Amino acid sequence: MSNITISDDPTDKERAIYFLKSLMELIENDQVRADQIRGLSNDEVIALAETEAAKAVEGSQKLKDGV
Amino acid sequence: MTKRILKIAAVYIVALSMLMVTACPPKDAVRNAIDASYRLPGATNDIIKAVREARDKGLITVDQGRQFGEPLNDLAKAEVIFVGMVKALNAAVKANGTADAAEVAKVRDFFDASVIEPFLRVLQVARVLSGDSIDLILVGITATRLLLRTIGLGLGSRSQNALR
Repeated sequence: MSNITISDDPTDKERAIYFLKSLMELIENDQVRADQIRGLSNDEVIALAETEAAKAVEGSQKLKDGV
Repeated sequence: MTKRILKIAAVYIVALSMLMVTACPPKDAVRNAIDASYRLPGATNDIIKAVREARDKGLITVDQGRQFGEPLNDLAKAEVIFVGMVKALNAAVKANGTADAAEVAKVRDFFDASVIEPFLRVLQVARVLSGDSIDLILVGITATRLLLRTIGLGLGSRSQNALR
């Protein structure tokens, strides 16, 4: 993500490219996550899920608050 | 550079499509739900991180970050509930040795009713902020919708049409 050049006045195109790369990374990371949990027990995956879900609430609340 | 990015994105979409069609080792519905309970907030956190970085770099404004924050927060809260339902389902299976079909259906229905919609709203914000360069972002949005469909398929989701 650090190799994207951003002008002082970001254009729609710069944003679109950034979002596109972010979504592609998301899909890659999802495959990594799917591989990661393959050998784990149900309880282990749920523990990870609880941590991720709590983190998502906290992070999204901050974005919503403009923090 | 743009054409290269689009080509790479197209490869992802084709690969993801093949993943959906190819026969994977069948997992039971409970395990699919458990996996989804981790993959969904994982994806949400990836988006949160990307939006935060975009805001910190000045690519989007604080207000635009808030536009993402609202549906992301709705999505995250729904995911907490989803994880709770999956945890209860897992506990019931451990206690009874088998999954109650009605309980599995509740998890599926919650995904359909309360997870898909805010997720699509997030993608819509990205779409709107891409303005006239919508042709670029559509590739990423399509790939993400396909991912949601893949996760939903494992749950027996009935909202496949909404994710086309």
